[in-house]
Amino acid sequence: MEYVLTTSALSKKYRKFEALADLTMHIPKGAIYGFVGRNGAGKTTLIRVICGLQEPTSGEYAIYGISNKDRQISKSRHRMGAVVETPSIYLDMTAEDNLKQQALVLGLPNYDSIPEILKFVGLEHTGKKKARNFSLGMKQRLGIAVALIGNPDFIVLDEPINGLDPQGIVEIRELILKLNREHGITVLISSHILAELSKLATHYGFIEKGHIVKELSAEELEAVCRKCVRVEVTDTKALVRVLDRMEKDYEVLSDTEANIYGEIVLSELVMELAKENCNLINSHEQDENLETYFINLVGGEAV
Amino acid sequence: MMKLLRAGFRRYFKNILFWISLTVSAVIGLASGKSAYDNAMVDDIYVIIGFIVFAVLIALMVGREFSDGGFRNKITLGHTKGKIFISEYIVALCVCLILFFISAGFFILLNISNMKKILPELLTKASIGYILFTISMITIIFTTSVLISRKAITVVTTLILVLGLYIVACELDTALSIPEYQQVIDWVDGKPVLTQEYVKSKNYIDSPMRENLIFLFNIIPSGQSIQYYKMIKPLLNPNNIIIFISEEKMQLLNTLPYYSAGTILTLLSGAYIAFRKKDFI
Repeated sequence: MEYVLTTSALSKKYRKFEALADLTMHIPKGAIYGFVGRNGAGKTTLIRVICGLQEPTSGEYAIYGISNKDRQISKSRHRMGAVVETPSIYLDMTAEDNLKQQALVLGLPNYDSIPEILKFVGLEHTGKKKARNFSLGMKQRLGIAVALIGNPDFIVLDEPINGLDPQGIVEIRELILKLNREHGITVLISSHILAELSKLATHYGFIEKGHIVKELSAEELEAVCRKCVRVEVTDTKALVRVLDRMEKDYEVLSDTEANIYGEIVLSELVMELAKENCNLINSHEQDENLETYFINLVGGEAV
Repeated sequence: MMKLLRAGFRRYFKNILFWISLTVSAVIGLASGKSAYDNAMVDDIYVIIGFIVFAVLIALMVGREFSDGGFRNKITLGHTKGKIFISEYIVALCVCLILFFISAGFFILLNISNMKKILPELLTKASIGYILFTISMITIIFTTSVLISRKAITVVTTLILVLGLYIVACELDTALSIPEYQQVIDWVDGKPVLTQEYVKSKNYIDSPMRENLIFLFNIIPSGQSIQYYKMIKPLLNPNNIIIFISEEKMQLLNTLPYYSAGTILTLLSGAYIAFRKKDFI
């Protein structure tokens, strides 16, 4: 498999604090790689390091097979676009001027691709409006347009939907899907909003305390996300005794609720509960989603 | 590097701040030129106003590169920090020199008849010196701006620096101008009379402190500005027939440019190293 980005035991220390600790990850070509982690887990630090904004303390990374220790890394970076934390746009310029500015920095021979890119991100009608007067969603889209002007194969988006309204989120999601599906651009996207990420990502990397805990594809995630039945009973102690006898995997959620994993025949459960003078009030099937998978993986509260 | 230079120049020329600075520079040139022509008054306050224009322009433009993510973007695209620093400096320097030459151009235009009387060698050395201390001031402002990441703090700091250096230069000028010996004044019939007696001035600064202060006075661009102003002012007087300066002042004309060159190289080297080590977060 061809990888756009690989890191090998990458570390970044700030005095005594270790933001990245022996981080090893692989982003396949053509993927939308969802980077999942809590606040302070190291997502933005990793993105800053691979974008060249900070030097790693130890370890290395490679973009398109070229190591960061190689001087040729700059050529790999030409194939990359990034929106790191906030979009890199000049607020006193229009959308078109921002793209012209970026075209000059890249050394593009002309500005021919600009109208197409503006149309692609939905900013073709902004005219002479300065970027400082754009909405947050428009600024994010302009930031992505600036990242796209060099025709990159790989784009890095750090929390692109933070602070956006629902419509803005949908617009960015559709834009990212279009980039990936129509243009084959590999995307690395970090986000707290797991529900949104689950609609986008083809691969996931879970980071905790600067370390990659797990990497897997969306298909693998689906396979490992356990189905369960959530039951509401009158006596969870009785339920626990019954489930232990039936050798079922379970999780007590409260005085009245519990999740039962794996296959279970409800009629059998009801009969066994009746023997313990316990009634089944309610039951429904539930899939483990990205959020619950992540919580179970790293422990603690939701992101 | 050419890509960064083209992008940098475009950014300045597209900004209204540049055009305002251009207008102010033209006004400074006209005002100072007219003042020199009408009254033989060459006031160094115009130079300080010019430096303030440079400070505001560079601080805001460099500050915006930090705040709007311009530097961050260029690094992400694969440009090295060294190239970014050098290109940003060249652009800032060239733009400020454009403002300087516009200002100087108007000054010269209004005083060309008087300046023709000045020896070419003198005029050339004074011009080179003026340009170099201007570049020195631009370098001080630029290096301060690139090392401070926050736009607002950069503007305030560079303004304080420009004004502070001018105040220091004025104080040094005053202190160094005190003669070593002063004639004693006697009072005869209620009127002051100069005697033949000389006493050492109380406030005269002796060596080695004197050498240190002279060094400081020569190295500060505002200090050089005051010294050039004192040299040039009598030369522009239309009533002067013979245009010459003393051997001592000629020696000063020869050495001051080296102070500027030293300041420029030292500051640029230090700032270059610091900028390359900077983390862009």
